[in-house]
Amino acid sequence: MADIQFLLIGLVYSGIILLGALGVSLIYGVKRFANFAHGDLMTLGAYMALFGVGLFGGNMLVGVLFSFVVLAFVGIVLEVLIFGRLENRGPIAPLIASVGVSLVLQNVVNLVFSTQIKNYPVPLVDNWYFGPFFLNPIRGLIPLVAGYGAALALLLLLRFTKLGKAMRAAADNLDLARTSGVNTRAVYFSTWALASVLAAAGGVMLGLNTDLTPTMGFTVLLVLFAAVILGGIGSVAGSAVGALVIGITYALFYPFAIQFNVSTQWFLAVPFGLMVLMLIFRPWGLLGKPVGRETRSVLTDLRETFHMVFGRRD
Amino acid sequence: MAFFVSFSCIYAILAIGLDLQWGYGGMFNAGVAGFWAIGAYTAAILTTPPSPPNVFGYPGHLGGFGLLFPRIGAFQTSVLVGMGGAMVLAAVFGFLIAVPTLRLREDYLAIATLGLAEIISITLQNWQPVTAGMFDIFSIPRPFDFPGQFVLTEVTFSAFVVVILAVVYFLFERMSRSPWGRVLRAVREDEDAAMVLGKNSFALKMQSFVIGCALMGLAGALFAYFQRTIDPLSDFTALDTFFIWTVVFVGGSGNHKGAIAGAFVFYFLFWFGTHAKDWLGVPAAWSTVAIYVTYIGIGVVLILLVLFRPRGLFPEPRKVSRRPRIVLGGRGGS
Repeated sequence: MADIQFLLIGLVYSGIILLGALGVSLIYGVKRFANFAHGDLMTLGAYMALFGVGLFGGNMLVGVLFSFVVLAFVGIVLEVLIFGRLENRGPIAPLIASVGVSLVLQNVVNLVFSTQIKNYPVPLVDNWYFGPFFLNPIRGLIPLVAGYGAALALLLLLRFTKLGKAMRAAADNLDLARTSGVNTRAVYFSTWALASVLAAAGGVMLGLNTDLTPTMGFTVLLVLFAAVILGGIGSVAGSAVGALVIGITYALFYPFAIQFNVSTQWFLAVPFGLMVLMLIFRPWGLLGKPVGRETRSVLTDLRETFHMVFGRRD
Repeated sequence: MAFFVSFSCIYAILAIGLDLQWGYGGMFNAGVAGFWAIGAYTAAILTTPPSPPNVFGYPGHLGGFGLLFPRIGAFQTSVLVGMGGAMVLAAVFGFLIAVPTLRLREDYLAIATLGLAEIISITLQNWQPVTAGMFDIFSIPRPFDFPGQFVLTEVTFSAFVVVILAVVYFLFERMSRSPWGRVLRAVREDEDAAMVLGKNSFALKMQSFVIGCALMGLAGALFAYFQRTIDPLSDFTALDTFFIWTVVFVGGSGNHKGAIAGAFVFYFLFWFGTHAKDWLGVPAAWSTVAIYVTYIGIGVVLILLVLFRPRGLFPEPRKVSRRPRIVLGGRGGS
């Protein structure tokens, strides 16, 4: 019985993870690098909403909108100042730059907002009960709906709008998109703006679900990567599936941890383990398409490893 | 002074390990702190006397292996065992994480090592019977211990670390000039071309990755001996990884001398920063601000280096394996 309650908690968690994972997947698809600063963009979004709430007289919705505007701007500035200059430099140069961005963002938040734990000024609402199970409408239902709603909206945007088609074209084959008249700069700017707004939404939902700390985003970064890789990089539906899998394992892990008195911190090992298994057997993820070097499976790895250990002159 | 030398040398060994992976092999290891921590804990567990009984809530840790090995004069032989164990275990973890990821695009390795470091850190903080959980491990021995003679103990330890750094530097300089190092750099520059020429790029990358991890384990062991205690909460954080990254980046990727120089300069700045505020009498409230500003500065330096000096301040020197032999009457070597 209690397990279904944990399933609800896990679903809410998966909604939050999904919001972050969509942004990671977008940047990975269009800009072709793993953005290590994405967790800290979430943190920044969460704190900007808090700042906006204070600025505009305590209205949470206005605060969130303010955060979206700021983060979209930050995303575009990052593209103009840093990542736009790192095109054609392979996947690692922008990755290192994003580590630098992560350090800067996290410590700016430390500096401005202090390391104290903070909370949004939202009213405390009674849980809604469904028989023996409960869900808090603000701390649980809103993140859940926001996460899967955003995924659906992004799916529709990518499929049916002109911008979405341009983004998919740029992700698929940049040169072809460019020669076909797609304005790639505009695509990059909108990708960054979209990913940053999604990060802000994820940060706000994470803050709503728990509380705000300067490391809140960095600690979920690994889970975001795990969700994206599980589902398949570049696939929105895949990210949703990855986040859902992580949410369900969350629901399975917590009762286990409590029963056997294992620290709940260990939960991080579960998405990590799933990610490593996926990289071994199906590097392109559950719903992704095998492209490039990611098409080789574990058999090649093992054969090469065998040769490496027992020797084969070459 | 001895303190400064010891710490810089430990950083320099870490930097050489990372330089071998990144500078020569082109592999981005985002989990340096994890391999460092494995080394430190392995060495600590292999060298400490039996853990003190459960007093004042201290849970105790796995230990007592230190007594199995004899003490020759002032020299603790268990220290060598600890170093060996640290290198082997760090190498094993490096191998396990490299098997699924080295074949894929470079950033998978970064993501996987980042995750591995996080999980190692969580494990060290929670695996109480072995690592004492949240508590420190105490009374880790120094290689040369002269009870009561503080200066002599510190100076001999610095000398010990300097010797190890010299040996490591010499070996790796030789390795990078060898055919092995040459092929490794070829793989870094163009993996497909190297494979077309029949080089097993996976094996080469694996070897350099595992050796780099072993070096990080060695640095971890030395760090444990140096500090005598290790703290799972404040040592070995993701920030340490980024520090080492900055060291290697500033020093110049693919340049061991640069990496060592980078380590010394970087640690000097760090050391100067922490002491300057005592000398200048800066109020305590400013010191946390100073730390955040330092981190922001490191982030900015990383970004600027990637943008404008991708090869570091001291770029990789051209290397020749051996003098090209000039064959009289024929075509020249090389």
